[in-house]
Amino acid sequence: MKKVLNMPYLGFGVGLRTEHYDDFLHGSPKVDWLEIISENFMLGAQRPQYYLDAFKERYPIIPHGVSLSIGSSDPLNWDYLHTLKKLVKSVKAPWFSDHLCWTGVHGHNLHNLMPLPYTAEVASFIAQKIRIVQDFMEIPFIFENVSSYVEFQQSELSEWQFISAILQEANCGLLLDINNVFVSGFNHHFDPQEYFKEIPLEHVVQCHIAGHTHKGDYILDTHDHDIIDDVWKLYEGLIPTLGDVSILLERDDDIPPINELEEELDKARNIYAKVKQHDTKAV
Amino acid sequence: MTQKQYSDPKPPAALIELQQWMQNAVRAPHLSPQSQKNSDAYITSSNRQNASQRLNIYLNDYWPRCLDSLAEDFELLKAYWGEKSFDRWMEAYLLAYPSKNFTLFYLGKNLLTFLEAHYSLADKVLVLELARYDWALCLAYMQPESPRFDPQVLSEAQKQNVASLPLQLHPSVTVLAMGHGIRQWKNSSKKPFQKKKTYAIVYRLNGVVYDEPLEMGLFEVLNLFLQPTSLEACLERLENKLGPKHLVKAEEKMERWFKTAVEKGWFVRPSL
Repeated sequence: MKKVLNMPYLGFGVGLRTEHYDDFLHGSPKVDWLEIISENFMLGAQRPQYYLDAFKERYPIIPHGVSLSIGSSDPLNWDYLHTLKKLVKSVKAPWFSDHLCWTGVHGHNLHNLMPLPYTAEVASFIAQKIRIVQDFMEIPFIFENVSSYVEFQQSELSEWQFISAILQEANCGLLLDINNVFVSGFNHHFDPQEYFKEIPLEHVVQCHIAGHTHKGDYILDTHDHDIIDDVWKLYEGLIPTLGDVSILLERDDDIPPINELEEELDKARNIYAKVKQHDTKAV
Repeated sequence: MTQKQYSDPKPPAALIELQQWMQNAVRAPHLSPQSQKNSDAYITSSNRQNASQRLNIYLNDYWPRCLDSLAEDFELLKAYWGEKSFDRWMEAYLLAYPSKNFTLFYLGKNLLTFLEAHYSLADKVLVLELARYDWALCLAYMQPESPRFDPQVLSEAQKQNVASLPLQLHPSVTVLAMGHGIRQWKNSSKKPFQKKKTYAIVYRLNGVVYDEPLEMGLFEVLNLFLQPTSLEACLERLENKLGPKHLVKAEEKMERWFKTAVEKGWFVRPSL
């Protein structure tokens, strides 16, 4: 598959969390790269900066934000973007990411990844904002599909149609969160396989895999459990169609010891290798 | 090089209306009857949940997330008030001062202002002191680093005139004067408060946050370094404030205080 963005393949990484700082500082966990929550390193606080300085010499680091609010009707926050640009440059990131969502309007921040109405007009509005952000940041931006819990009356497109429209107009990359597709699929009664069939996969630069919490009537994207078998199956099914994409294991709550994350990451590696080997033989 | 000018695209009117409505709905502590009624106008129902149940998932995320963050930042205040009272006051605070920062680290930055304006119970002084202490610990962690004053790197001429060099407290430093033994309470399994004049300093050194007791005199001195000033100017102001008798005592201690302050990195040289 010919990729839209020619990005380096980073292998298998984890989201860097404070609980594992010392594991990475004093040991060598079997992790190829690290994803950081951008905002935690944009304050200039000494402790996070100290660790970041140590890690950036040893691992590729990708800043992954939660407050860009690319889908907000507010204008872009230039103070935020200037600070983010400094961070992105300091870790020499090949790309940076955030979520396809909004986090507040009128300057407020709800500190949540709020869902968007899926209309062609909104898609075009967001694509224009992404073009500005990419131009200013001078490196590629990739956005992540979020888990959502509501659908809006004004939506006129499916989620995959909405995402495809933005990708094509903005000419940016996609951070495909496989778990989020599963979560939203359950919450909104769609088949993840249909989603994957319709998304322009040549835009995918990176994938997230993670766990979630089933609440009965809906699934919450909590990142506090191991990945469930159904999500592993989706991952296994997707790999042959994706080409080389960097894989990231996310864990945000009930964070286990690093060796348990290494085991889960190994599982992702083994599935990837097995599928790739099978793929090569078939050719 | 001049900064390239960008102009933001015009947002669709329907998006502005939807986001305004949803933000207001989520920021209400409980789903109001009006929001429940309006939910159907904006949100579709699924065969498992109606529109307001779906909206409620976002409320159930926003409030615990913000309250947990404030509880982490104001541990002393929460321990004093207890969870129920703490949450009630924090809800009121968040309604008055919703987050306008890209990070939750600054969620509590207006709490003191809020409490000063709205808290009127008999223990107001104590409550403000607890909140100030908690926030000092947060600031000590968050404030950006800046080079500490180091007499070793001064030129020979500067070394001869250290007393005339302008100095200022490091951004991570807060000095506190309190009418209660907050620090003792913090470190003694929350025994009853002792009403007594106490002084403390909260600061960061080598990535670690410390809080330590201060002598009153040292508190007075450090307080003068909230703005750039020199040791000379500081002594002059102390003379005016304390009178010559107390100044002699302060001068006697000054050398020891200054040594401690330098060792613990409390001073920076103000940028010109």
